[in-house]
Amino acid sequence: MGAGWRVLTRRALFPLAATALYLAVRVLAATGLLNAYWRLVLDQALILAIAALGLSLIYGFCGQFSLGHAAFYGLGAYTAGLIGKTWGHGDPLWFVLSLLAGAAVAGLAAVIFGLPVLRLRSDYLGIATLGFGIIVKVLMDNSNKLIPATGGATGMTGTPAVADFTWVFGTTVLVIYLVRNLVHSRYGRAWVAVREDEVAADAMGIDTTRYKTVAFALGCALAGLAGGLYAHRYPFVHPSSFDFLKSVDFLIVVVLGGLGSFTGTVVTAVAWVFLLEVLRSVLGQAFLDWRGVAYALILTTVIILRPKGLLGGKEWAALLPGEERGRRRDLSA
Amino acid sequence: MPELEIAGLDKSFGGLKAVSGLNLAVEEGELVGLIGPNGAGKTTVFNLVTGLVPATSGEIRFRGRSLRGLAPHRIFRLGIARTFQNIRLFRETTVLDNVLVVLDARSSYGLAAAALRTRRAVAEQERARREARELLDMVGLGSRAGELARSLPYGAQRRLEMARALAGYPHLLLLDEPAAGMNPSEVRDLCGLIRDVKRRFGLTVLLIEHQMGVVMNLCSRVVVMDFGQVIAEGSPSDIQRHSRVLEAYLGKRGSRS
Repeated sequence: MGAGWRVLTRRALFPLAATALYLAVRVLAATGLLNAYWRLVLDQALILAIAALGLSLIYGFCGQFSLGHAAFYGLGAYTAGLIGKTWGHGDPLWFVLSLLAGAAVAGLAAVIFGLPVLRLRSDYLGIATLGFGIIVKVLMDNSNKLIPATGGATGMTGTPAVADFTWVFGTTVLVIYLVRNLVHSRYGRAWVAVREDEVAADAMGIDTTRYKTVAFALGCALAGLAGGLYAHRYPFVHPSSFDFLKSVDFLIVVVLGGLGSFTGTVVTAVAWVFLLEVLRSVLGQAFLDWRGVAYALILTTVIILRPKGLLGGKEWAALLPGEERGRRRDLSA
Repeated sequence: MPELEIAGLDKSFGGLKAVSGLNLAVEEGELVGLIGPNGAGKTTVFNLVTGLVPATSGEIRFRGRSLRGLAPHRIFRLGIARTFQNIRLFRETTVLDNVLVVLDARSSYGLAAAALRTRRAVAEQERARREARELLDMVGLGSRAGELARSLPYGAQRRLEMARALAGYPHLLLLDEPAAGMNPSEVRDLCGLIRDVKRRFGLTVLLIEHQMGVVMNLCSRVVVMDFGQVIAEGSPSDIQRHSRVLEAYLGKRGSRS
C-alpha cells in the first residue's frame, strides 16, 4: 500500500501545490493584506513567467539565441487586444479565442520568419530577431494608418480587462504543466542535443532544422499568449512596452534562472518583477535613472556567484513528472 | 553489391585536396582498418560518408543507394552511424539521455501527445529507456546512467559514443580512433567490445586507428591512405611489409639528405 500511496501523492503534488498557492493569494487579497497594487505586480510576474518560459524553450533548452522575444509578445498583445476590443467586450469565450489567436499569430510569424534562418547553424538567429524586433516596433508605431483602432504610437486603449488573477494564474499553471511535459519528452531531449552539439545531433539522426523550428514557434506562441493576457490585464497597450529592452528582460530572466531549467525560469521571472518593484518603491522617481545600473549590478553579481544561473540547469524536483523524480533518486543512490 | 562503395571521390578545401580520386569498397560483415599518417584524409572520408561535408565530386553508395545530397540525419537513418575522433557527446546532459535521444527517433508520439504526456507517450518513453539501459550495460556504463556525460573519464566517453551510435541500430559503423588516449588494458577491453557488438548487431565496421596493435588484432583487411588517396590495401601482415606504407609513415630512405 505504501508504494501506491506514494505514487498517488507524487501525482497529486503539482495540482495540490497550485491550488494551495491560488487559495493563499485569494485569502490574502480578501483580507486586504495583498492590495490591488501588489496584485497587479503579481499578475505581471506570472505573465512575464509565461513569456520567459517560451524563451526558455528557444534559448535555454534548444540553444537558439533570440533578441526579439518582445516582438512576439507584442504581436500577441495587439492581436488579442484588438479582438477583445472589437468583438469580445468582456465575453469569456471571445477572451479565450483572442488568446489563442494571439498565440497563433506569434507562432505563425515565428515559423515564417524562422525557417530560412534556422536552417543555418550558429548565431544568425540573434541578429535576425534583433532586426525583426525593430521592424515589429515600427509597424506598431504606424499601425493606426492601416487599423485605426490600434492607436499607433499613442497606444491602444479600450480592451476589456477580463484577465483577473484566476485567469492569469490558471494559464500560468497550464503552461508550466505543458512545458514540463515537453522538456521531458523526445522533443526536450532533441532540443538539448541541438544546444549541446548541433553537428553531432545531426549526425545522430536528429532533424535539427525541424526541432529548432518547433522550439522557436512554440516559444514565440507562448510569448504571444502572454501578450494576450497582458492586453486584457492592463488595458493600455503601447509599442514601447514591446521594444528591445523588453526582449532583454526576458533574456535576463532565462539566463539568471539557469539555461535548461524551466523551474529556474519561473522562479526568476517572479523574483525579477518583485525585485524591480521593491527597487521602484525604495528609489522612487530616481528608479528610472538607476534602472540600468541595477540591471547591470544584478546580472554581474549573479553571474559571478552562480555562473550557471540560480538553478544551474537543475530542476526543482517537486515540479517534475513522477517517473523522472523517481529515476533521479534511484540513479543518485 | 558492396555495403559501402566509394568511387572517384574528391574533396577540396580551398586549394587543399583532402581527398582526391578515392576508390574504396567495403563488403557486408567486413571489419576494415583505415590507416595512414596524420592529414592523409581519413576523417574527411568519414565526414563525406556521413554527409557532414559535401563532396566536390565523385560518388558514395550505401547498399546500392547514392548518398549524394542527403542530410546527415537522413544518412544516419539509412543505417550509417559514427563516432568522433574529438569526442562529441551531449556534455551537459545525462549518460542515459545521450543514448535515449537517438532511440527517441523510433518513437511515434507527436507534439500534442508529448505536451499532454499521454499514456502512449509515457509507455513509449519507458520502452526506449529500457533499451537505452541495455545499450549502456553492453558498453559497461549501466551504473553511470544518471551522471552527466562530461563527468565521465575519457575512455568511458568513447564507449558512450559507441553506445550512442549503436542506438541507431546501424548496418555500418564508422569508428574514428576509438582507442585514442586509452591505456593498454582499456584498449584490450575495447577490442573485445568492438568484436562483440559487431557480432551482436551484424555490423560492417570501418575503423580509423593509429594504434597498430588494434588494427592488426581486429581487422581482416587494411586500407592505407596518404595524400587523400589509397596507396595500399591488403591483409594486416601484407601491409606491415609494404614498402609504400613504410615510406608514407617513415619517409623515403635518403630523401632528407
